[in-house]
Amino acid sequence: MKKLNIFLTILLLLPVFLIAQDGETEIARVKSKPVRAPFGCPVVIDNQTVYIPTAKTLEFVIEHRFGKIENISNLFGIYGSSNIRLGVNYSITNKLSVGFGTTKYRKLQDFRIKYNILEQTRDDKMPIALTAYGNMGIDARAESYFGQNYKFTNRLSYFTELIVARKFTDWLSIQVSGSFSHINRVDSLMEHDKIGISFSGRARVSAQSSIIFNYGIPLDIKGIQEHTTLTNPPKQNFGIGWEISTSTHCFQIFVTSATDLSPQYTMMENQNDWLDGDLFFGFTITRLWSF
Amino acid sequence: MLFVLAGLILCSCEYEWIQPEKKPIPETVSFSSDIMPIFNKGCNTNVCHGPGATPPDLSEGNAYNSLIDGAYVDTETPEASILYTTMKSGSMVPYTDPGDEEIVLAWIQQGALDN
Repeated sequence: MKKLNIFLTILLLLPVFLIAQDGETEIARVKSKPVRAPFGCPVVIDNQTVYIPTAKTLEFVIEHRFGKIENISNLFGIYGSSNIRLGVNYSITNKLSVGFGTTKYRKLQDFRIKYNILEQTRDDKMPIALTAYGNMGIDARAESYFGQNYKFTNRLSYFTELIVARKFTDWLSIQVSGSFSHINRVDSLMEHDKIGISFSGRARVSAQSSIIFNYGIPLDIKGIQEHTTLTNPPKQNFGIGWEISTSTHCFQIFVTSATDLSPQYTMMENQNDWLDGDLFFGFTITRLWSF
Repeated sequence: MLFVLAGLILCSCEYEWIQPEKKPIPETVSFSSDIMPIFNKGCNTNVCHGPGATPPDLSEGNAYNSLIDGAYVDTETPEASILYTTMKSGSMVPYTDPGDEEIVLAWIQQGALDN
């Protein structure tokens, strides 16, 4: 278990170490031109993409989830309880962006970092794009939510992800990602760690419009499982929608089964089963400013 | 700076469980003085469970009838009541103060009276 914890800690720190390797990757950089926009947005429904805006670009993100789609009386979820996240990201270089956001659920404040390790090239010398993403969340609710013996670090949670993407044709891009989530203090029936995989894609149907999807799978791995049986294991999440992107804007509207706007909580706590009809309308708006 | 960041993350990674601080549950739970204050914390605003908004209507004067008529309360199996389960493990968890759901459960177990 100790060895496993060391391994998981290394996984958690991966984005930080990968950024430290920047000099080395610069040397090995292929001179070929990268493919154009495998994804048009930094997010695809509930997951990050390999896309990072060019250096010195400020990005403002509004993410919103309406209530559960029920019937006309709640206007298919639009009158229901909602979740919203407002965030800003800044691209320090073409390969590195950092950001901050605030979310209604748990009054979560998150700090993010994203680093593009490899870019897919047009001549296919590099057939894939590889991006590392990490965030640290701070649950800003009242101390009473954390029970006895409270201390500040009880509020912290982490998410680390490695994303592999390929733009197969001018109209089709697919990405696969592996992630590790950790929450410092959880309910006695829950786990502290979760490894997950996600599949996302974008199929362009016109110059600006695309069909997008995302599927996230929290894995039950016995080696990191703290309970013999899980009382409320997290459900797989699924989302599908429409994306309209331009050089300075991106707009996505979709249905999804995940209402948390923080990936670690989606992977560890999502109780919505899309196969049982637990679906929610949502949208994401991003606006880019170049300096 | 990267090593400082890595150190901060490394030092702040913990494996702790929540040990709930029990809220005292009144011997006789009163709907007006124990349950309504829970709803008044923010549940019954106009955009949530206020008059004309998402059912049940949890506003003063309407909450009791709305809960009973809408079958949100099950006095035969209190733990299965929709009101309790949504606060305990459902969609209202993010809006529920810890311990409030147990006061609601005690009220249902005592017959869900309009007292």
